[in-house]
Amino acid sequence: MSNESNQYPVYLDSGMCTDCGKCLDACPTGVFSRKESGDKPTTLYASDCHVCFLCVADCPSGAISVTWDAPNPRQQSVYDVLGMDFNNMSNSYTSQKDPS
Amino acid sequence: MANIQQHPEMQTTEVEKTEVLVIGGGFAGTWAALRAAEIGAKVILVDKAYVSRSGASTMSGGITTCPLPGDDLEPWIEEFVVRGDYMCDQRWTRQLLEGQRDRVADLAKWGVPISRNEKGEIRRFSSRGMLAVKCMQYDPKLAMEALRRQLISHGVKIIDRHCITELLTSDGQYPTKGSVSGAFGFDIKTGQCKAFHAKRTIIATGQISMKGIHHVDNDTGDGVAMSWRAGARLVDLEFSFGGTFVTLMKRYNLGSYNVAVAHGARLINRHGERFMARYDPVRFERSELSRVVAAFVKELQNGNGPVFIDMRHCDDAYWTDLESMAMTGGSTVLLSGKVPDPHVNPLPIEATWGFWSGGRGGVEVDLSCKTTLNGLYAAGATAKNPATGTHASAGAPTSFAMNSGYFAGESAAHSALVDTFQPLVNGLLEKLAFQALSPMMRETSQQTPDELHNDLSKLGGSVFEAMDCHATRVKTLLVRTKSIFEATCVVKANSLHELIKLHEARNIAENARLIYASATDRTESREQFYRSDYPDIDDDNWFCLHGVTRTATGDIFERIPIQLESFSIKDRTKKPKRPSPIASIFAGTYEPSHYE
Repeated sequence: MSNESNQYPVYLDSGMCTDCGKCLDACPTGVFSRKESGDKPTTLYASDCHVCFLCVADCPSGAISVTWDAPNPRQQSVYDVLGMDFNNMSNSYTSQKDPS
Repeated sequence: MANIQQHPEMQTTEVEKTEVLVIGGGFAGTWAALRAAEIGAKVILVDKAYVSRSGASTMSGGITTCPLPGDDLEPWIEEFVVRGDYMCDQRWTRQLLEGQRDRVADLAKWGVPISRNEKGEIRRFSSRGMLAVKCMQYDPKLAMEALRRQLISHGVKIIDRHCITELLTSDGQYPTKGSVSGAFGFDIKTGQCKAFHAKRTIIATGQISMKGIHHVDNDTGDGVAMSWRAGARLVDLEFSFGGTFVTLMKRYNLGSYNVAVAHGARLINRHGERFMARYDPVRFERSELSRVVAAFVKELQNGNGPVFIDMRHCDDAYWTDLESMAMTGGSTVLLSGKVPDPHVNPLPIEATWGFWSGGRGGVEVDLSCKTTLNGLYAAGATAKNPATGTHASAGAPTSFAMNSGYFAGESAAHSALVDTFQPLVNGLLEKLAFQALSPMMRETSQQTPDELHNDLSKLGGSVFEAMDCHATRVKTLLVRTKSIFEATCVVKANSLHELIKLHEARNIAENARLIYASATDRTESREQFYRSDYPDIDDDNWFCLHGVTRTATGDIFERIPIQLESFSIKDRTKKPKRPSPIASIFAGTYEPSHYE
């Protein structure tokens, strides 16, 4: 289960949703909404997900997933400013001497 | 979707009367409401999200100051005062620690999970920046759930999902010459306007922050901005800059840096050097965050990056607590497999530096959490925390939230019970309804509320630029902030959801302007406040609180003396005029002994 585009961090699988409405309370930033009265909730405002995972824990049917991998256009990594790439960097670090 | 043009009846405001109104439902707001209700006041608590799933309290790292019966609090008080550079009200420091014993007992009584040792005793550890002061680990989400249950059982009326846009004033003026008499807002789901007519109002909407950086996107400094508009004095706003280490591997949220370093995590550079030893050979990466972030920047500037967080030294309790909190909180990236196993791999980490006031700057309050405006109280990170000075240690923001809420609720309830309602001024509700909802009636605009938040999030720039508030940079930022604020006055909201974000953008822009104006006015550097054009600490002119008040003729800045002679810990040595800690770190001349 995933958000195929990964454009936004949150994904709600409507097939698994039992329409309990708990996500409507869980989300601090109001990501979830019913388009029309009587509809199941959707991630109408998915771009406002701030990756807190409260909805994941509160959804009793496991219909919601949140990923860390979606882009955050409001945060720029200082390592991107420096042009640093981390491919294999952390894994290779342990070959160095333990500083302790 | 609700549309104001299709539903003009939404502009008819419903009015609810209450003795005590609390705005914001984190630790401060819920404790304020609970205490006020215990005393017998009729209480309404209103929040723009759902109380227990709202704001920074639920998503905090779950550590708070933990004094227990039998502890001698004198060394704790002294450490808070000295580490806070004596820039505090020591009566508040004592009140905070004595009160916190009771708050911890309350959490335990309500069944909130608290990390304990094999004997069943609360497991305590030194909080970041401290040696004597101890804190504990608890589950913040379950603490907030317990508080919600307590509120309901004490008859507090909780009104979730209402966006408060303005305080009510007794004369209808902003700034007021009278008092605060409640607040105005709208129902996020329907757009129905609602006024809360109150004898006493407690504002507890959290800290000054902005969206996208800290993963607490509904902390937008609403309470600080509303209090300022009504005329309350704010203090030390330039100290609202703060640093945190939140980002792993360029994109993943660590969770709490404070918790990790309290349990043994270290910062090392790419050579494996624990570089904080050069700056603080006692507390290392548990030092003041401003110094740790400055040292981080220096390491990168010197080509020693990336900086890693090395969790191979974390104790077992850290991993056990992390797993337990991930179960109730939803997840943690450290245990997710998304990053190399942190038990054996140091992970690249980075600092951010931006608006993250954490109680270092905000609405001025006294011992009872009264503001300078009659009828208005402030609690939690909306208030400037007078208890801990320039250094809010790990655990201090939550303990201040819990206790300032408690004392605000107590004082507000006692005074409300012997007072009468101020009448509402004719025409005020109609004016506020128009202000609240008119962005939905505007012509189509070029920008969206989201784009305004994008612009706001870019104000600070990278951590290399963000720490320096020199005049040229801040002048440019003031121009950009003014431009964003002006845009909030013309941008259209296409839905109620966008309307909230537009009000939030307006509040952030207003706070940003005041922060930059305060930074311009302060012609020195001190702890986390640094400007390269005034790099020295200047005790002669700036050992004080720095107030700013809105008046009919503009902002008034004041320097409010700290009455050290009236406190028990008064032997502060005047600091020689020399570069501040950040200035010294950047200059490569930092000597730890100069700043202890």
